[in-house]
Amino acid sequence: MAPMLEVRQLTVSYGGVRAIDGISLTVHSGEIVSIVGMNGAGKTSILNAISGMVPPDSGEITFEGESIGSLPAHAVVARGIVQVPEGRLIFGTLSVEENLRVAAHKRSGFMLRSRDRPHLRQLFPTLTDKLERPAAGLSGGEAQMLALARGLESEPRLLLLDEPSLGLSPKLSLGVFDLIRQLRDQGLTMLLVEQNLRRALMVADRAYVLESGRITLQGPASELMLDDRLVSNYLGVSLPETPTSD
Amino acid sequence: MIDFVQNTVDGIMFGSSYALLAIGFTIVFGVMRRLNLAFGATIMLGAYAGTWLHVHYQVNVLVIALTTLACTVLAGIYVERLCFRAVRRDAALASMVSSFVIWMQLEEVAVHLLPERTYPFPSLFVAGSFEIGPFLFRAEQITMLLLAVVMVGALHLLLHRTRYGLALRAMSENPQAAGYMGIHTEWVMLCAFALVSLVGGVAGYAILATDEQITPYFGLWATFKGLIAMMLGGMGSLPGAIVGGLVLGMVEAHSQWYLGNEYKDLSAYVLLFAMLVLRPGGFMGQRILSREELAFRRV
Repeated sequence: MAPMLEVRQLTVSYGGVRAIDGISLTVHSGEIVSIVGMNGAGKTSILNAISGMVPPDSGEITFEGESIGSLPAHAVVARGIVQVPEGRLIFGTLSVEENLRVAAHKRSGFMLRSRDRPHLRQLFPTLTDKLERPAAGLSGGEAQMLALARGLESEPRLLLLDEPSLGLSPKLSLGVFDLIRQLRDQGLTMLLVEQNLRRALMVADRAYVLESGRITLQGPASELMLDDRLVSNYLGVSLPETPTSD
Repeated sequence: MIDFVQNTVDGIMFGSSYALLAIGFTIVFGVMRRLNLAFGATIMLGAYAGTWLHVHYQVNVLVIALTTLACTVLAGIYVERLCFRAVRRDAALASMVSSFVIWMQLEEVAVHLLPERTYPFPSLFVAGSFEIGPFLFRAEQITMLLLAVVMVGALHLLLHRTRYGLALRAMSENPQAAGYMGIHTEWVMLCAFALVSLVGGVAGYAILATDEQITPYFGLWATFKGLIAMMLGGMGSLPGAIVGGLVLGMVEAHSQWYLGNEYKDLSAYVLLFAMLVLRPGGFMGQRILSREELAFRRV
């Protein structure tokens, strides 16, 4: 079966400095694929290139058989690739409800109308009674839930998750990964970028290990978890837990 | 006491047009964190197009008003294309400088179109005045106030009840996040320029119809009034722009009456100076200040 997303020989650089150096990866429909790696390895750059937020230098990105490498971000979202960005980037001055509406704006008519969201009540019970409040008042965990809920509002076929557990307590990040599993069970395809290697490998079907812009290891997550090279490279050193950006 | 109330009423009426000018500056600043210095000049050029029609052809005033608005919107789109779209996202200073250059260019165009110093500007409104008790009301000024109220009401509805308004508000808070949400950010920006040009065109028309004449310096004048009103209220704040415009109008009206005509502009500058020293974020407070800081960090 042809992959849902195929990235071939992708190269991205910022001001002449190469962040991604010819990487290739595939995501099949229904899979959770994870990209793991240290800070600054270029994980976010890959997602940004796929979602059209950063123009790639070279390489091909195909989604459902069509090339999307040169499309602007809004056109990529319209095709069904939605990124939940690192640091959540929720709109603090807008209400929770408005945050969701922004993401659903393609389906809205010119005038905004209130909509019923049954799936929201089921997946995000904590958000449903705060819909009218400004999103700035949400706790970190709630804000991450809102970021995920907002991503789902755009009706993605492929969800790009950038460090969804960043800055959350261990308990809250467990909740996030629970949600990711629930979404997988509903058939959503996801490409997950994580610093937390163990969590990422536990939830993912396959994974790519990224080091300085290159993929150094890849394979089924269950095998990578037992791989000696990965253990010595990552689990030997302590991973930083503080929020930082690539 | 009667003078004081009369001045206040006059100030509010004229200040309503300052508020519209300030809204034009503040919406663009809110969305882009950049100053569009060519804003006053786009209004002037639009009004010059209307005046040109008035001078050369015998046409209905309504046609002239519509031409003024349409050409203001076109000029606004021209400025967006040249100074804001073409300039890189993180080069805010370059946008500001190039919008200043375009201001000069638009002034040149206006002078070539109609080379004399002043031209009569046709009024769509009924002139005249009436009295209620001891107070005098001018019909043009009431029309100006009504237009401003209608524009602000329509803007409020647009920003809070429509898909486009939501996208615009999302973009003013975080353009990058809006991009992730699939908002066509460049389109939203272009529409924002068209929108503020329309608001500015209405304000410009109302002011010129009250003055009944136009000079190429109208662009400079509109830029001053709009910028001062915006900074009084707080950059990027829509309610701030309204409050700032009304306060500026009232201060001008009072100082003109009590101190004399030559102190009218001076007192506006003194007010702005005092505001920037005592409360640099403007009337509408701290949140706006942090935005302003953010903007200058980007510069």
